[in-house]
Amino acid sequence: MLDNDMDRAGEREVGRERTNRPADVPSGVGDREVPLNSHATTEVINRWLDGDTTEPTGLRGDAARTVEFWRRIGEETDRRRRMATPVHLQDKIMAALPPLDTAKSVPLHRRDLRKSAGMILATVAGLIALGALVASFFVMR
Amino acid sequence: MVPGTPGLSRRRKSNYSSAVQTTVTAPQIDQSQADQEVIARVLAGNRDAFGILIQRYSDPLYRHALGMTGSPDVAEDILQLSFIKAFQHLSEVRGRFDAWVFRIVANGCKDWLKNIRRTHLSYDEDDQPTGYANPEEDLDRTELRGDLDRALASLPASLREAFIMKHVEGRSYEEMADLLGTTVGALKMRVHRAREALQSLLEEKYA
Repeated sequence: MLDNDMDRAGEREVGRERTNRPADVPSGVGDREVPLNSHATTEVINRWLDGDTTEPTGLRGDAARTVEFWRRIGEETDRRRRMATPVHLQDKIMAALPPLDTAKSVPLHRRDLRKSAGMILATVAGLIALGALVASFFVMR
Repeated sequence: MVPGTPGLSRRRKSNYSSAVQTTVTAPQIDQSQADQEVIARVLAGNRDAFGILIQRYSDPLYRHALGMTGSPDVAEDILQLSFIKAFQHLSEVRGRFDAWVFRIVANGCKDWLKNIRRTHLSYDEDDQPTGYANPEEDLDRTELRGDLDRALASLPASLREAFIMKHVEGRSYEEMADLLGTTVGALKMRVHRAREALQSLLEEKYA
């Protein structure tokens, strides 16, 4: 099946004797079919690049060139992945940090609960006093 | 995101990105707790403790900014402004600090891209020793870098972002979805479209 498909795709010389290829070796993708068309090739290569399968082997023609292309791009992206922040940057950032206002920086939900409870009690007391004032105004009328 | 973890390195030749970590792992939870402790110290007045967070996360964030902007200077500026913003709003952190600060940097990059239309993008090679013994190979790779930068710059920001997160930062789709607040399927689509575009732009020269 594997070789016939390749023949149909015109990517392999017809009549050539089948030799042992890496694809013949069981590697978890042994049942993977060689792509029949560009869409299938794209699928196989995307699965490889996504890390779902190992590198496709036994491909020829355009498919093999595409694998080689992504191998080269992979070398460059690997190099970029090793890049580190310039050494001076941390000091530069630390020097540029504004002063920390701890009173403001601690959010309400993280502040001392007793203080919040005191504020609530004061607010409630204020509201009661205001209510009493309004009620006495209406009673006077 | 767990900067500096061995899971982000890959055995490229055998499996392009199989070693990339997926989903939330135990070290990630530990890291998040450690971040919360550092944040508490900073909020209590220990300003220097913020340096721990910078050291912990600056590398992947720098790589993201560099990949998105193509300019080391701009990447530095975005990183500096982002960390200052993070410091000023540290009390507002809910959940993972790394994801929160990533969003600040990612938004900074997108804002920069919206405002600046660049005609030429290239990495500053002066600070980057090449390490290739063969001058021809060196020249070849330098050319590839420039071409890849230009090709990436021509992509829509969302495709570029997805490609860089996947291929340069080595993140899993699950992690990307977590950071960007979108679905794995949508991100796969973006990465695949980015690959398709890069391939059509560069394959003729480099395949």
